[in-house]
Amino acid sequence: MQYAYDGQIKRYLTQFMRLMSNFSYKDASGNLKQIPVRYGNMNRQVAQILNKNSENTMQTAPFIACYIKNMEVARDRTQDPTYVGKMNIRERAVDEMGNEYLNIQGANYTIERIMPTPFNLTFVADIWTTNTDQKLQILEQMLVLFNPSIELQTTDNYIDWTSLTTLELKELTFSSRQIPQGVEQDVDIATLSFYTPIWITPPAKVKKLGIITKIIASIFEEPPGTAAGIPNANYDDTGEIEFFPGRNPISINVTTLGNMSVLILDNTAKLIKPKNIYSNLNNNSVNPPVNFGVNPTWINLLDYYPGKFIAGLSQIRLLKHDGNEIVGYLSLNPVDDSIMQINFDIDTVPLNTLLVDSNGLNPRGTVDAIVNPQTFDPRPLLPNRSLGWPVNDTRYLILDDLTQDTEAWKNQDNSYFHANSNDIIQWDGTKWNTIFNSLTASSPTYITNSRTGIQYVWNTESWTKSYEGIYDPGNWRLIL
Amino acid sequence: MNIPRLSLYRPEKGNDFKFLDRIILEQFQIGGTDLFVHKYLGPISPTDGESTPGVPTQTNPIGELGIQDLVLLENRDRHYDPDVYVIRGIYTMQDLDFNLSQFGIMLNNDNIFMHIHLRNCVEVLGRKIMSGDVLELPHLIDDYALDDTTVALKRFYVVQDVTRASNGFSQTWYPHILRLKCVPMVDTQEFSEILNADAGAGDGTTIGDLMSTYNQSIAINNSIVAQAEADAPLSGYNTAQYYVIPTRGTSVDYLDSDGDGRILDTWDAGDDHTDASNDPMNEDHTVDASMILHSPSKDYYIGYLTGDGKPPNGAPYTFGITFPTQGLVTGQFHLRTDYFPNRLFRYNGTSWIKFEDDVRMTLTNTYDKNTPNTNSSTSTYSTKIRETHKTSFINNNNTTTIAGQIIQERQALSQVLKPRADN
Repeated sequence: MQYAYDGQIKRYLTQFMRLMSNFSYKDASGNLKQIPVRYGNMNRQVAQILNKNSENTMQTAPFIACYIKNMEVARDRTQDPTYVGKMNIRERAVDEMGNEYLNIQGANYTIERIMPTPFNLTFVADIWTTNTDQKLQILEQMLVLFNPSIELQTTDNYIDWTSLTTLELKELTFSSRQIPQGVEQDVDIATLSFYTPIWITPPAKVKKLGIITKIIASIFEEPPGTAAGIPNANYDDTGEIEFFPGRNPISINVTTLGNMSVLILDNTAKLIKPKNIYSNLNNNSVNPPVNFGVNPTWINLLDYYPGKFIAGLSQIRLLKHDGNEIVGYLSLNPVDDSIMQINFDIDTVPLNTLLVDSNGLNPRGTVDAIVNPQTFDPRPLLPNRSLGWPVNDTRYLILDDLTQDTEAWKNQDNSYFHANSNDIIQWDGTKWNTIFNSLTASSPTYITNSRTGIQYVWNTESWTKSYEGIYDPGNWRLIL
Repeated sequence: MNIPRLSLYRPEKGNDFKFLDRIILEQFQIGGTDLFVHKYLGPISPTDGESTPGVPTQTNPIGELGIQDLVLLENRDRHYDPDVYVIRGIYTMQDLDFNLSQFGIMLNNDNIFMHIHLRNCVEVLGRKIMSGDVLELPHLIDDYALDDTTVALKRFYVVQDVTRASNGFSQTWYPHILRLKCVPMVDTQEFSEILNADAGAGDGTTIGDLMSTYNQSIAINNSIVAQAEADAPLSGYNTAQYYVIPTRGTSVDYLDSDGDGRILDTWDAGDDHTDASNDPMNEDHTVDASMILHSPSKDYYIGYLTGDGKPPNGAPYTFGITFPTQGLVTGQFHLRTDYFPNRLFRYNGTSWIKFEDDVRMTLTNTYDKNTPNTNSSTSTYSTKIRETHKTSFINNNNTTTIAGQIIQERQALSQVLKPRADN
């Protein structure tokens, strides 16, 4: 077990002695004298030091000695020992020297506190007096405060849920003397006993702020038939009941902070206004969308997110169709706070789909260019002003149909090459081949244009940029 | 022939008695030790106007016969002769044990039984030694106490009981010796006149300062209070270091309810005061980027006793007993100090809205408003008087003028509006 000590019981004792402190008595001349308070169970060596190592030193009276008489487990206040209470705290930033709080947001935290253990403490205060009048003066000042209890607070930490308790006066022994007195005149002690319910807690967990930034509410359709899909089990059964599999969601409503979408373009991210804001659905009359302006700034949104934005380290994560995410590192555009510059983590960008040639060789996920076959001639111009043949394994993504016989796309055997728009074609040294047929391809295919470095994806209808575009609320998130 | 009856006893104290008495005194002179006697003169009278039938003004011509408190039957404020008388005494030395069994106070149980010469005592003191007299034993001075002062520590005993010693009767059947039961003196109210006397160190130090553990005990007590104040300076909870986001709405759907693209509550051209340099709140503050935010309209960190009368996020504020009327700025804070507790308001553009009350209070029982606890390391809090609902009835030095008379608000309930004496 790791060492963990926070002086919790000592703090209760310290506060108890504080409560007993600063009382005074008045003598016949009207002089007020403060009554000292200290811990009762003193070490002998310390006592000798206080006595200046001399038996001539005089003790002082009146005097109040405080100590813990008893401590017991409070079973009646025992609660769920596994319960963890969480608090989300945003701290103010501090200056560079760490000396002064600023009026801007600093670090954000989530504090996890486990259920503390309850105990009952019995405090005792012995009041030593040398005459009855002293005792009556002291008791009258003290006892009016307990009706029957007063608060006892060990810290002023907003997060410490064990800090507040009460101090209840339970018993009072007026005098330790026998009445009438015998031969000896002993010191006279009045004893006050106090009851205090306390809690002792293990250390807390301090974590990065983990507040909810996205809520997904889905509505599922009921399978046809009566209770056909509902498992034949009781709801109080602790066994596994899978209710949602097999059901299709009717609608999915995703709510994010501000319900902003984000436009990813040219390694930048720009917030755009929310879509489809309706105010009255019951009458089927859709009000115009609320105007959210055109340039929401990132600064305003960042304050809401857990954590502190750090340029170059804070991330934006874009959700792909396959459920994986593309990670980019953000830095704010210095001249336009509506634009974030993104440095994408290439390891998270989708891998290119490897396309092989007609012989099943030369797997490659890139094309040399995207061309319009109607206007582009793939044959290179040789130094002698004649036309040559393309370099072996040259690949093009063509944007238009190649159904007419075209001189520029002749093979070496003088036959004409034909292909459809969106096909990827390859020169194998003697002829052109279609290595990606857009009419038959169905699965997403990722291809990077070597000329521009831009990656494209085939979505069964057209080629689009693979991760650039608009991401709706729920399909992107920030990690600061 | 008649032989006179032999009898050492005589109805009067004859020459035999006197002879023996001188011999016995000589024994004290030869074999005894000096005792410095601080002679008890009687109880101190109450201050003017404070006497009661139970605690009367002392008028007894023999001061020692006075009783200070006729109800409790005790003399707690004692008057001692500033002169010190010297007599001789004899007692048996004994080993001492410190007793630390119960109170956190180191007591030494060295009750001694001192024998002194009766006649000599009366001749020196003018009366028989009595309970309450204080003996100083110069032969017990401790020159080697663990202290940085150059003054040796004296040894004081208080006479508790005075009886005639059984072994102090001579053959004449008359007593010559008194037996004093003496206990160590404690620094307390009863002996304050002795202990408040100058110690002779030349720096105003009193005997009590040198001899007593009182000052050390108070220093320890103050350290305990300072530690407690460090743990919990004020009641309730400190949220000043937390940041409150100034929101414009109450839910995420309305974060930007006016559709201007702003989620947070920030300044814009539509605000009533756009030039921060003219903002009266910012006269002494550097305007930085953060000032574009409006102040929060409510506190997020609320709970039991969290109000401290200060705006969240360290926002500037003014204070006074009336609201400012000029240069008002939306989001401006103003602390009304004429409210008890002080109340912080926020200007929302049209009205001053209550934000919070300054309800946090010191937990230290400051015992005198005019005597702050200067030994505390956190004097800021020590000097703040504890005035909760109940303690405001106790820590109250307020006066009020009623019918032309200035009266103290705080009065003992038993004395409130009692009939006044004509004189």
